[in-house]
Amino acid sequence: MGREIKLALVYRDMWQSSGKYLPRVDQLVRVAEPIVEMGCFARVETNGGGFEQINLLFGENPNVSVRKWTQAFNDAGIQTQMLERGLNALRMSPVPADVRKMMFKLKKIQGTDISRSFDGLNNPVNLANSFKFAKEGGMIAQGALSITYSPVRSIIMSIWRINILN
Amino acid sequence: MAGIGRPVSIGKMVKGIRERHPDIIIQYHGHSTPGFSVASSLEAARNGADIIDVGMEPLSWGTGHADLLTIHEMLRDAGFSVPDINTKAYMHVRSLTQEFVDDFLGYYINPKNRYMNSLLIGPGLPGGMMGSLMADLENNVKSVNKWLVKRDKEPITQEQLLLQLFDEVKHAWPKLGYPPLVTPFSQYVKNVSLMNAIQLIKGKERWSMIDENTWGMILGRSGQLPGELGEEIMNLAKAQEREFFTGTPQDLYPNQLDEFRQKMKDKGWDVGQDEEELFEYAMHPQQYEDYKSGKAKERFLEDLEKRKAAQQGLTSVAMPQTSNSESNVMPQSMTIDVNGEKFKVQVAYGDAVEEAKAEASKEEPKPTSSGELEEITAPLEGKFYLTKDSSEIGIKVGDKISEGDTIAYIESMKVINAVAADKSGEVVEIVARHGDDIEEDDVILLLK
Repeated sequence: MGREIKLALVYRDMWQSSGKYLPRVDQLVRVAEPIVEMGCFARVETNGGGFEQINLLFGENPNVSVRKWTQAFNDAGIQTQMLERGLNALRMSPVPADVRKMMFKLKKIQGTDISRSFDGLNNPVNLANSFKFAKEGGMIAQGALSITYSPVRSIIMSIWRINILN
Repeated sequence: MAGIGRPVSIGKMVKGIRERHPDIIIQYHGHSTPGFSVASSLEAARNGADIIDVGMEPLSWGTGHADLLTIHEMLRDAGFSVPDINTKAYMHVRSLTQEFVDDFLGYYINPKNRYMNSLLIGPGLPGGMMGSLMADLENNVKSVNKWLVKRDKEPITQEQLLLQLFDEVKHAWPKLGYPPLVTPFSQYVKNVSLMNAIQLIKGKERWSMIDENTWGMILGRSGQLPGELGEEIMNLAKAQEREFFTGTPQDLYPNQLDEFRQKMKDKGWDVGQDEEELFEYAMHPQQYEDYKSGKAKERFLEDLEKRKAAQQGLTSVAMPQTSNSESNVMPQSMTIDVNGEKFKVQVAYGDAVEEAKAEASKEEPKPTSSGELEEITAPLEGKFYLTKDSSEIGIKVGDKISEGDTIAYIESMKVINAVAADKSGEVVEIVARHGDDIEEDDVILLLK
């Protein structure tokens, strides 16, 4: 066998990119254990992106959802990850620094291990804060490059951005 | 991330990163919408990726992600070591996920999101955005058609609006400085393009509806845009006396936790375990208030009931034997039985054209410009707010407003749009209610 490749199940994004809402916490808790039993996932995307806001929109408490839904993965040693939007954190508009800082610390306590941070403009300044705050909050900081196609971009530029971020 | 990355380019990118940073973990994530993601996953793996993101049935493919089983088999065939899948547990997760779809989530999944769509390659919009885009378009088509039918014009289909939107993205994106088409900028570009498309359908000018978040992006408040702004955007910024920003974006948004802590204290709300309730309030103020008051739950349940009833009505009609997964073979007419009497009816699918005609014809007469009263109407559909947060004071009856004043807000397509008065006068009645869903062209307030 060749080099090992791990698999991550993006359960949160599966729902959000298909429709408007996400399963309720009682449903998420039911599906968590069988996902663990599948035995093939090193990581599961549990929250972040629109997860917290969508919970509020249909009258559920996102804090309860994240704590309960991540528990089975935490117990099994499967890493949980969340998506966050750099300056915009978990919403569609910029977020004050103290609220961003608090987010990483709190999400770690609630059971999320990895913060996958991207910035809509691939702005190193905005992302540097995400990495700093995530590490301070005890999370694993992951940077995501936003790939898009236009005449003002190139592969070289994308790699150059990665160099800056490192 | 967005699924529009071309496989070979993805491979080159991963290779370049791996060569420069041999010790970092590389994870590949792509949506399957335009169809590149399986090949991209392989290219990423061959060039040094360590982790591949996958979805699974019944929500893989379409606007989601490549399926676990496909990626798993492909990687094994290519010689990589990937862990075994416990098939029994897989089937359990699959059936539970389907159960959640059937319970309530399926009512919010547009069937078109289950298809892949190569048309996205042209405008470059991210595959992951199609979910919300189709949900938004459903409302937009209804609103536009209501406007068109009211003026004796031919309604349009969702497909027509989608194609016009794609064309408009191609036009608007360069002029907006080529922001990467990922959240939230894909949303901003899409919103502006959609507003432009709708304005053009109505015979009006482009760029008349740019929300404040999008202006923030244009002016550099989120960071520097990769491309140059178009001349018409620069002229618009100048005409509206908007200032460009070149500093550190975070500096524009001062700390607010103490402010929210005080608000919670004033309202008698608990900040929660590890202050997690405080965090949620500060992160999503309006949505948290609606959650706390129970309005959010009430609205959701009401909407769900409506959708269930609509579905029920549809399935109670005796459908002819045909595949319901192929729109091109779906029946265009059918016979229904109402209290023993048979009726032949025409069937429309998803276009909302007939619906718009019916809506327009059954519409109750609204207050009109009779006597000295004048209307200000909603420029777009969405959720109506008199204020965008609790620090603002909304307009009230008796206030004098001038043309151009911000009089209210409409939350639509994930952003807050300020509604500017298009005429001056004294507020006689505020017709729209704070927190209500309103449609384009609905009367917001009356002036004298």
